[in-house]
Amino acid sequence: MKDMVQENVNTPLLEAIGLKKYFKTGNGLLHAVDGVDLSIPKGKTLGLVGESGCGKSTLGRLLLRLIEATEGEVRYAGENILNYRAFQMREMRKKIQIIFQDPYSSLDSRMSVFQLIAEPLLINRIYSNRRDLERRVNELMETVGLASRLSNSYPHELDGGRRQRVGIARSLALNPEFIVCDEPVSALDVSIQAQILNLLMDLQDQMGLTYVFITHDLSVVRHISDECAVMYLGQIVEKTNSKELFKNPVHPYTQALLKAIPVPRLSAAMSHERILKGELSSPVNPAPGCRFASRCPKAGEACKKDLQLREVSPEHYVMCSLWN
Amino acid sequence: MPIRKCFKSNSMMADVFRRFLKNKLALISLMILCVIVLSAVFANLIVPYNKAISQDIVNKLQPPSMQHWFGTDQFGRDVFARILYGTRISLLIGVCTTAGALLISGFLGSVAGYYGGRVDNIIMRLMDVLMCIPAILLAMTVIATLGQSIQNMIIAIGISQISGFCRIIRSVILNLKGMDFIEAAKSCGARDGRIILTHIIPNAIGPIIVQCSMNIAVSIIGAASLSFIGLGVSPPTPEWGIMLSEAKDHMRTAPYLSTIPGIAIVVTALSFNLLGDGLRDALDPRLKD
Amino acid sequence: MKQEENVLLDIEDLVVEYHAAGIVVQAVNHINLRLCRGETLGLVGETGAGKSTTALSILKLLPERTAKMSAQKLFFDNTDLLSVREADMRAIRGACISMIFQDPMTSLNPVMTVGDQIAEAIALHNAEVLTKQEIQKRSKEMLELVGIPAYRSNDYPHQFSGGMKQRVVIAIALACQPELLIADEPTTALDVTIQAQVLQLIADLKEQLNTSMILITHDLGIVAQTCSRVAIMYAGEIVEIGTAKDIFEADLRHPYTIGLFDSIPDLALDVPRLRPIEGLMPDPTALPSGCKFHPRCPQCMEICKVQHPSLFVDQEHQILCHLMKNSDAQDLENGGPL
Repeated sequence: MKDMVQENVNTPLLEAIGLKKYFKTGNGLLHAVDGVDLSIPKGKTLGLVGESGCGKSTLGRLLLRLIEATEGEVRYAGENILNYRAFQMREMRKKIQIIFQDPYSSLDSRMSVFQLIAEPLLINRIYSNRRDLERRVNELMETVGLASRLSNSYPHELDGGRRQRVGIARSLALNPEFIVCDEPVSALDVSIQAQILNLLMDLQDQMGLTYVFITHDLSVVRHISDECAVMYLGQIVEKTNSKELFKNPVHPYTQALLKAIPVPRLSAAMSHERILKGELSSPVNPAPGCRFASRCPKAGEACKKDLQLREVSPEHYVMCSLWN
Repeated sequence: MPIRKCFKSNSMMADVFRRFLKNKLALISLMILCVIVLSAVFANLIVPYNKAISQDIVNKLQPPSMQHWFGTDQFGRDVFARILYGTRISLLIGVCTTAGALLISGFLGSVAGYYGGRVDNIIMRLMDVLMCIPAILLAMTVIATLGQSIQNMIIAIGISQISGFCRIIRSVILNLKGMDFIEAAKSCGARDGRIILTHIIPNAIGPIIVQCSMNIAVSIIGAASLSFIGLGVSPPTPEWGIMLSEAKDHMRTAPYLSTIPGIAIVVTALSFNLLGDGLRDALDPRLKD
Repeated sequence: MKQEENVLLDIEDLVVEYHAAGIVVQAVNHINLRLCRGETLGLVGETGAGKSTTALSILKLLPERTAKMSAQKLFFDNTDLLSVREADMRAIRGACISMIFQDPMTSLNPVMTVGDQIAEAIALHNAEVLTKQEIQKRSKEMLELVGIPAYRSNDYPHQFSGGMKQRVVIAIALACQPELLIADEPTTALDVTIQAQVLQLIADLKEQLNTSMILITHDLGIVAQTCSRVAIMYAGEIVEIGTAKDIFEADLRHPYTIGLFDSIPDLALDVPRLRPIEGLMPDPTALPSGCKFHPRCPQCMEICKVQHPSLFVDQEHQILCHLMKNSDAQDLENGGPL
C-alpha cells in the first residue's frame, strides 16, 4: 500500500469532521451522532464520556467505518477513509482496530484462544508458514499477560479478565496504530479492571498506540485519557484536556455528571440540589437548539437556537448558550 | 469424573457430547434409532423382500405367531417383513425431505438473515405465502400434478417444510449476526464469505441439527398420512401409511394390523423427537434448569 | 452496646453450598451478620463473593434442587426463619422482607401494567383486608411516592425508561412497608445521573418508612453515600465488617479492603498506574487452604497459608486476618457477631 501523507508532527493521526449518523426509524429520523468534530494526535488517548443513548459507541464505530456515516469525514493521517474503496479499506483495517465491551460475546465460543488471536493474521495472510504464525501468537499472548498454556483453552473456560486479554491480543495482532476501546473494562470486576487499565496504558507507552477510550465511568476516563470529550444525545457538549475537565467543568451537563459520581469518601454527601432531574429526551427528530435544555437548571430563551462548540479558554471547548 | 477422562478436549463440542451422554432418555432414543436404522439397512439380510409383497391368501389374517412374528395381513403377506421394509421407505423419505428442505431453507434463511433489508423482506414474504397453504393440501397438489411415487412424496413433503425451516434458520442467523465477534472479524478485514463459513455456520449448526431431527419426525408422519389417504406410494409397496389404510377394514377382526404399523410410526417419530430434545439440552444446558 | 430488641436480623454461621453434577460450590462459608432496626448495611464484594447468595438465603429463595443451606441461627425479628414453613415464609416475603434485583429490564412482568404489579404485591399480603378500589388507590399512591405520576399507572413496563422501571420495582418492594429491604445492586444497570436519582429516592423512602436495608454493591462510592455499616465479602466470607468510618478511614484494615480502594481510580489523585490486586478470585469449588485471600495478599505470611485466621475485634470493627494481632484489642477464637 503506497504511503499516504508524509507524517507531519502537526497532523493529528485521526480526525472527524462534521460526522453524522442518522437512522431511519418508524417514528422518524434518529440522530445518533449529530455533527461531531474530533482531532486526536498520535500517541494520545481521547476519552469519550457519556451516558447510554449519547451516541459514543456509534461514534466509535463510525471512526472505524464499521458503520457507514450519513455525512462527514473521517481522516486518517490526512486522508478521508470514508472515500476508500473496499481493497483500500482492507489495508486500512490493519491500522485501526477495536476492543469490545462484552468479553463474552466478542469471542467466538467455538474457537480456541490460539485460533482467535491468529484469525486476523490468517485473514490478512501475514505469515506464510505455521511456525511464524505460532511464534507471533505466543508473542502476543505474552504481551498481554496470558500464560502460553491457555493457548488451547476455549473462551467459556476463562474468566472475564482473561477473555478481555484475548480480545486485546487479537486487536494487537496486526500492529495497529489506532485502537477504539469501547468500554473495555465496564463488564469486569473492580480489581480486574485495574489490571486491564494498567495493561492498556503500558501497551500505549511501549507501542506508541493512539486510543479513543469510550466509557461512562468518569473516574476511569480521568485516569487513562489525555483529552476528554463529553457527549450528550449525539453531540459533543464539552471538550478539553482531562485534568481541566475535572477541575473546571463548564457545561451544566458535565457539572451534573461530575456531581452525580458517588465518591468513595465519607465527606461527600449527596444533597437534593446536586441531583439532575428528568430523563433523556428522544433522539428521534430532535427539536432545534440545545438538547440538554429540558433538564438544565440554567436553561433560558437563548438555548432554543442551534449552538456550536466554542473555545472558552485555551483548548477548552463548550457548546452552551451561556458561553456564546 | 469418569466420563470426562474419555475426552481430553475441552472444546464446546466435547462438552456438548458429555452432556448428551448423561441424558438417559436421549441415549435410549439414540439406541432405538440405531436399531431402526440398522434393521432398515440390513433388511434383506433379515428377511427377503418377496416375503413382504408375495401374497399367500391361504394364510391371510393370521395373528402373530412363531412363523409370522407380526402376523399376516389380508393378502397373507408377512407383516413383520412389511414393517421392516416400510422402515426403509419412511427413513428414506424422512432424511431426504429434511436434507432437501435444509439445503433450500438454509440458503434462503441465511441470505435473508445475513443481508437483511429488502432481500430479507422478499424472501420472508414468499415464505409467508407458502406458510398459508395447509401442508397436506400443498402435498396433495404436488402429488396430483406430478404423480404418485416416492420421489414426488419427497418433493411434496419437502416443499411444505421449507417455510418453517427457513424462519428458524433466519432467526438463528439474525441472532449470530448481532454478536460482537462477527463485528470483530469484520474489523480485521474479513469478507462475508469467510465470516459465514468460519463463524456463522459452525455456531448455527447446533440449533439447526436439533431442528432437522424434529423435522425428520414430522416428515415420517407426513409420509404416512399421505399414503393413508392414498396419495403416497402405490401397493404393493410396503409402507406404514398404506398398511394403516389397508387395515381400516379389519380393525375389529385383526386389530394387530393397525396397531403394529401405528406403533412403528410412533416409536420412530418419538425417538427422533427425543433425540432432538436431547441435542437441544446438550447444546444449551441453561434451558434445562 | 446494642439492645436485643433492636436487632432485626441475626444470622449465625450461615453456610450455603451448591451441589450439581458431582461438584460442590462453596458459595457462603460460615458468616455471621447482625442488622439493627433503621440501619443500612452495605454488603460489598466482587463477582462470586457470595453476596447475592447470602441475600437469597435470608429470603429462602435458593434453588431447591441444588442449594444446601445451614445455619446456627437465622432470626428475623424474633422469628426463626430456619424452622418456619413455606406458607409462612411467603407471608414474610414482600410484607416483612422485600428484595430489589439488579436488572430492571427483567424484573417487571411485560404483560401487566405497572399499577397492577404494585397492586398485586399489596393484594398478596392484604392484612388490612382492603377492597379492590382501596388497593388500586394505594398502588397509585406508591407510584407517586417514587416520583412517577399516578396517571401512568395503566402503562406497561416497556413504556418506561430503565431508571423509571427501577422506581416501579422499588414501589413494588415497598408497597407493604416491609421492615427490611434487600437491594441487590439496584443501580448497577443505570446511568450515573439516574443512579443518583434512584439512590436519593431509596434514601428518602427509607427515612420516611423507617425501613432497614441491606445494600449489596461492588461500588464503594455508593457505600460511602448510603451505608452506616459495611461488610466486605470475599470467597463467601465476611473478611471485614464495621462502621462506615472504620472501613473508609481506620488505620487497620483487611488487605483485600485496602486492595479494593487502591484499584479504584481516584478523582482527586493522580497516579501513574493503579495498584490492582494480583491474581483472580478463587475457584469456589477448590478454595485455598488457610486464609482464602492468601494467594493474592501482598502481605501473606507462612501462617496464612495453613491456618484460617481468627477474628480480630476492635469495638464494632472486626477483621478476619492474621496480621491483626494486637494485644490491646480482643482476639476471639471463633468470631462472635457484633
